[in-house]
Amino acid sequence: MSDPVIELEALCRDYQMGTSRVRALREVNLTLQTGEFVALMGASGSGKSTLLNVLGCLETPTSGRYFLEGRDVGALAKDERARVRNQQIGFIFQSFNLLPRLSALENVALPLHYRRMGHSAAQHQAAVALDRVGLADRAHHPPNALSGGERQRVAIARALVTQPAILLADEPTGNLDSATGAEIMALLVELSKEGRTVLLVTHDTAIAAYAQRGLRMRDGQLLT
Amino acid sequence: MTVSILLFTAWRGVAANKLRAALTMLGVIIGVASVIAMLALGNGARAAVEARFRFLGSDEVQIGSRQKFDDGELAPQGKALTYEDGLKMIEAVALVDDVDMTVSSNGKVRFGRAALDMPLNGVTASALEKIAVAQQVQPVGWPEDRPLTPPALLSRGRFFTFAEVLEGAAVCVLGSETAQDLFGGDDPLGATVWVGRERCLVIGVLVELESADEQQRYSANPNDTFYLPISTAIQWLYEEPPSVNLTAHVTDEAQMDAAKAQITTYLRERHDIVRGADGLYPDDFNLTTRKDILGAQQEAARTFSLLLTAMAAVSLVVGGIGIMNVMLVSVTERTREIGVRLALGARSVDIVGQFLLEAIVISGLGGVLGVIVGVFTIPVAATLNQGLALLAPDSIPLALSIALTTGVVFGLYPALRAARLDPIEALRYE
Repeated sequence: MSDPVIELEALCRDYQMGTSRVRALREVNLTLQTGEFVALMGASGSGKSTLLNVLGCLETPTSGRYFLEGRDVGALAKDERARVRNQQIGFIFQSFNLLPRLSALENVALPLHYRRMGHSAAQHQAAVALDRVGLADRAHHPPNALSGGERQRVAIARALVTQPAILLADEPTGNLDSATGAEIMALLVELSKEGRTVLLVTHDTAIAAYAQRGLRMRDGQLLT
Repeated sequence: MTVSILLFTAWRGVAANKLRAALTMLGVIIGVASVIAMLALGNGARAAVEARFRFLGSDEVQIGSRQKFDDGELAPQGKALTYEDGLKMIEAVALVDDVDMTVSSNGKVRFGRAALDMPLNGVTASALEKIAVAQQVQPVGWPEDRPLTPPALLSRGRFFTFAEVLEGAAVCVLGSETAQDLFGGDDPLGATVWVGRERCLVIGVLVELESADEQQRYSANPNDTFYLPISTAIQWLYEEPPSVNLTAHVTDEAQMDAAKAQITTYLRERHDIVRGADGLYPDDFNLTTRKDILGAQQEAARTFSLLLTAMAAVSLVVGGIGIMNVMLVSVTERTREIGVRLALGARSVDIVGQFLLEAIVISGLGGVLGVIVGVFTIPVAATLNQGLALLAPDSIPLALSIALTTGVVFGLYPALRAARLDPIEALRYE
């Protein structure tokens, strides 16, 4: 457990808001080790969403360096970043973001299709991932036939199916009642124990308590 | 994504909004259907021209009377072309070495108790040869690659000689069915039949013939025929000299234009046509050669292709704008879906492919439906165009490719717009 999955060196991110320039991330330094379960907390506007987006390769840092599994991914081109997202990052969203017209199984298989995996291999791998989150019997249901907790499990299966380097969970329990939220957190803890690296973004201290390590952000800076 | 999954995804995208897709297709359907129908009209007209003149040899000049409407009926505009006109042409026109002439009139034929009321054909001696060369009909079961010779058309006896045609001999040749109807199983050769009040010797019987064109075999019966020498037919069947169909054979194909000029001069002289005050000759006849027909045909083909291009352009634009509009709406509606796909690692090509393919599925389906509608429109178009509409086989792939091109051209911009979305913005879209 000594290889860093993520290393950020003096990471900055600026936004142009009209005529003024806003610095959303200020010199962020961060190292995440393999298998760590880290909670990132902070008020809205503190920069945690921006940090999550940069970590997820959805946007690029203005300056500083971002190493993902030892590779500098901070300045990659658009399609290269898409490849990184596909192969090394698993997203779990607050609002699940399942595609309504696809079944649970097809939703889980989607990232595999984007890496050009054949249909039957993808179906098989997606079925294994669904089984892992305990939804093997719900594979052919569309999202709107599933409960909130089940939907989030499908989303977790979709994040897991590509065997990513890190799971990025953005308020994964935000749309769930507390009992269901606890179940989802238990699943994330389990995954962490299996050796998955998890970064959890939340503003709820009770949720953050599930993590091994807590980080707090304020005004674009990481407090230590 | 693999192509099959992309296609499946695109299909689902279209199927999710069936009514919208159907309405969008309408423009493409109408465009494609009209291309099919237009081409069918052009093709039908061409086929009709070809069918009428297919048997005009390259050394032949068809001479017809100019017609005009008189009391609602077609009548020769000036003097009719007569048997005499044709007969004297061979001597008077240096570049013409033979003239085929035909007349046809209904008459009664009797033998014993059997009587037939049927068209009687007056022909020249080369009529049989003409049938063989034209190859419009052939003996039943005739092999496709065997050249047809005049003797092969006769089952018994012989055809008319030049002398018999010139002197108006009382002889006739029967089609196989006519022979069967008049004589049953008996041998007609040497028998005398009654044509109206005249006695006529049967000198030949044709073999059983069928149309060389399989499609026409059920509509036309080439065996229900009766031939007389043309001079005999004119004598027996008409009170005054009838209008005859003339086909002049030119001695030298290379001198076709000179031959036409000679024929014109000869006919003007015979019909007393003088130059009018406007410097033009009020001719009462038309000369047609294979070259004339080909020229007219090419001219018509050019006009049709111009019309077609306009049609295709209109359908492309009308159908395409509809598709573009719907695809732009679809991209906006599915911004969040695009965001999710981008987050999961979809590259620009994946997104472009998905939406472009959706546009192509719409336009392709519209194309297929348009072809079906177009094919069913052809009979309607035919009734509006004197039966002249025939599906042009090339028009189907052409129309389909027009439809698909429309999808590609007008689907590209919305697809590119989808691929250019910022994933973060798209994920936040409500």
